[in-house]
Amino acid sequence: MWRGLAGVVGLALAGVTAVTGGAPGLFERALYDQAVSRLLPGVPRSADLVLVEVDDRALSALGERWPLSRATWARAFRAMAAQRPAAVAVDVVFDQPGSRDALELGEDVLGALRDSGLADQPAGAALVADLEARLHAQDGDARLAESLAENGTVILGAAALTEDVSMMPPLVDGALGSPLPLPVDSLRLQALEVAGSIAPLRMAAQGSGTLNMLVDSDGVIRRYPYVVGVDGHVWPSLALATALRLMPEQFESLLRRATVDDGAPLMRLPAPDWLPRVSLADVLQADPRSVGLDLALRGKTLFVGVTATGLHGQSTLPGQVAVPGVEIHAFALDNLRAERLMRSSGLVALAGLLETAVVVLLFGWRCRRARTLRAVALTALGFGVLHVGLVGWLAADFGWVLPLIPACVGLGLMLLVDSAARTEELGRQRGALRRLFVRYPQAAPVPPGESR
Amino acid sequence: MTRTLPWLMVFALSGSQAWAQDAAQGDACGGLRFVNGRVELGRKLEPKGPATEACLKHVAEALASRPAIRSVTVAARLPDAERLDGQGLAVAKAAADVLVSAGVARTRVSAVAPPAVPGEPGQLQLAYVERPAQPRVAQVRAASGDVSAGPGSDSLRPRGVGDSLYTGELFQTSKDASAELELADTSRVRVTADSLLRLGAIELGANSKRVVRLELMRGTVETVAAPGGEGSVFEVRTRGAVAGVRGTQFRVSAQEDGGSRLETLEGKVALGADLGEVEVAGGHGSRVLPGAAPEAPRPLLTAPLLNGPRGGSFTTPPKLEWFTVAGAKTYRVELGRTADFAASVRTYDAQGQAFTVPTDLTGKWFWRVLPVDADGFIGFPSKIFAFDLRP
Repeated sequence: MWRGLAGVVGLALAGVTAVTGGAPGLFERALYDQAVSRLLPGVPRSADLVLVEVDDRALSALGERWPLSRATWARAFRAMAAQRPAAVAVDVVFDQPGSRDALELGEDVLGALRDSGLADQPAGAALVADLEARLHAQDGDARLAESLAENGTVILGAAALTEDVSMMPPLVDGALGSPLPLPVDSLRLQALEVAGSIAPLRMAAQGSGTLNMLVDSDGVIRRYPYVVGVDGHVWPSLALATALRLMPEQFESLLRRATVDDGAPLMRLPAPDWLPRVSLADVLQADPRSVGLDLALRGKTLFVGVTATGLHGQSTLPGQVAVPGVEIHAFALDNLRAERLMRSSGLVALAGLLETAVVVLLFGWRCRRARTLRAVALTALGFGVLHVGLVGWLAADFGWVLPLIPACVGLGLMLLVDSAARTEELGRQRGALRRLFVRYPQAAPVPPGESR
Repeated sequence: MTRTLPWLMVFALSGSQAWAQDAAQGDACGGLRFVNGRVELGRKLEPKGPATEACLKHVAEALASRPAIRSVTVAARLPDAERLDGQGLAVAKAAADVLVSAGVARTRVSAVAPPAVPGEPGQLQLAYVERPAQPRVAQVRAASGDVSAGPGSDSLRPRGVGDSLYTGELFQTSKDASAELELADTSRVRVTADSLLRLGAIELGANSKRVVRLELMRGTVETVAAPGGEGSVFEVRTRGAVAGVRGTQFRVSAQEDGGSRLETLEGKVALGADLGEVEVAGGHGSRVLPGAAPEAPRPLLTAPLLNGPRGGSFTTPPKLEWFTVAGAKTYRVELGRTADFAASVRTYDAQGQAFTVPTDLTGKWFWRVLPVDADGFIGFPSKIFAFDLRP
């Protein structure tokens, strides 16, 4: 009975893992992290994805602090457009208008000039025209909208607001465009509202995608939410929005992949330095006809984000210290289009539960037939190796992540129980023999010549 | 954390109110809304043409009356074949010039030409940016007729759907107008005709805690409040009383003589005055006459049972009928374009158990009936039925 209970403990652990979203469970995350970062083959280096980073060098060269001015962003998108990229995914939300204090002052001056009648004189008219041109150039939001429209391939960032009180102004339904035709209830990431860039920028861009990550309680990001549910609507992530922009003919297929594992599959990790990087400083300062820049950016999908020190652009991945958040969107896109998605919920979670049950039951059956504790231990070891091998093979070749620990716990507990039972049985047999010998003691041999 | 149930509050200073038709229906754009930074038009705006120019001029007039909007962007979304050689940008700039010639400052208008959505015809789109000087506390969700707002009664300017409202602003509806406001905490306030409301403090804190204080200076408002966290305050003040939400569904009426009337539909509500306070449980009502303490709660009238019509199309105005409610002196008949009775609602008083729909109410309408007793207490609303009048 105790052996059966030990097996049930392992099965219960697998059940808990299944109903809480699938593997890796709470106690196997560290093991999963090590396995996925060291044992599974990394995502091969991509040839057509490039990170355009706002790094320390870019900030130093521009002489600006983060966030960059809208005028600088406008220059950056124009410079990127000159290289004719396939798409530009931006890990930034321009949710507030740029500063307009100087523009307000200039407009006041313009108004005063007109009211005074000076604008009617030739010199005054020239001054008004010059001032209007300067104000036009200084309107960062307008210039950024123009550059986004000229680029024609820009996907802006958005944010799914998951807190009761958010720091970003929410948008009304439909403000991000058309929601995706997907069921919303089963998605892992659900939000109250969604926030995005200001309306002129959204209008000028090709679309928007959410930048949210699913961060586990230990601070590690293991899943990427390709879709997010907001008040009955489904909105795409930056990776999915970019993929839809790049491959509109694969719309249905991309949506099918994006909904794997409730819309947030486990991620395959990239090899170190898998994403080529170009500093924004180089994009802005290099000659637009530069062959090097052309080779680096033309026809590529550019991911634009901040990587400068201390700008909160870092995210922790399994087995790694930290990577810029924008990189996660890039290899999420790569995983999506290559269908390198790992799943652990639904049928996979059920398969994990069944596999654990089979391992536990087979071991229980073998335990009864084994004559020695050594044979039981070897059987447990064999089943453990088979289980680990099966879990590793399914993860590496099929992207199925089954729970590893529950079956091992079940095997270990059953082995302990079996060992204890056998030890107890052995002790009982020894006691019986001892009592037998006490009841029927043998006479000690008497040496010759001695009398009793 | 304690969460309150949605509740309903009605201040009815006037009797029969008629909700005017949407004034935007007749404009050159087929309707005009300022929503979340986008200028939403009633129809797609052709890239060029007299109709486009007329609509853009109408937009310019609307922009001039909205000082909070500091810049506008015109986008010409044209098919690739029509965008070649800067043609798309030229179309957008021409549209921007129309706005400028109609009075919008040139420094506040910009033009862009993003690619069109594949398969869709070319069109113009407009977006705007508002001044971020102060966070808005409310937004006009629906409006019909002349509605205006401003910091003072002498500085009221016309407002429309999508416009933002700020703390301390007055919001006014004309005699044949109505509007619905969405507050920052997602509560909704329906302002009926000839009303004047001041938006007091609306603060949002952590754990859904909110403080909302509205001051009704004239007319009628009907409010659906969002759930609030523990410690939340939601008050509507009139000259003589303060109604504070304590988590329920209820109505309050403020009368012209300074008295107030409370009808609690669900839960419990406090009605406070200078001479005392009374808690009114669900299904009961109370009132405060000027200079007096709140009266003891009394039962509310039950919901009328509707006789018909339950639906269907009619070529002549149908006769709406319901059964008598004991204690009812009159009945309030409400007709709305939508089942939530959010906007474009017409309200009529009926003495008997029938009401003939006016001939001008063509199209689909939803209707419901509320009983009113001799002291003006409004009872529970009936079920909602609909009819479609197609002469």
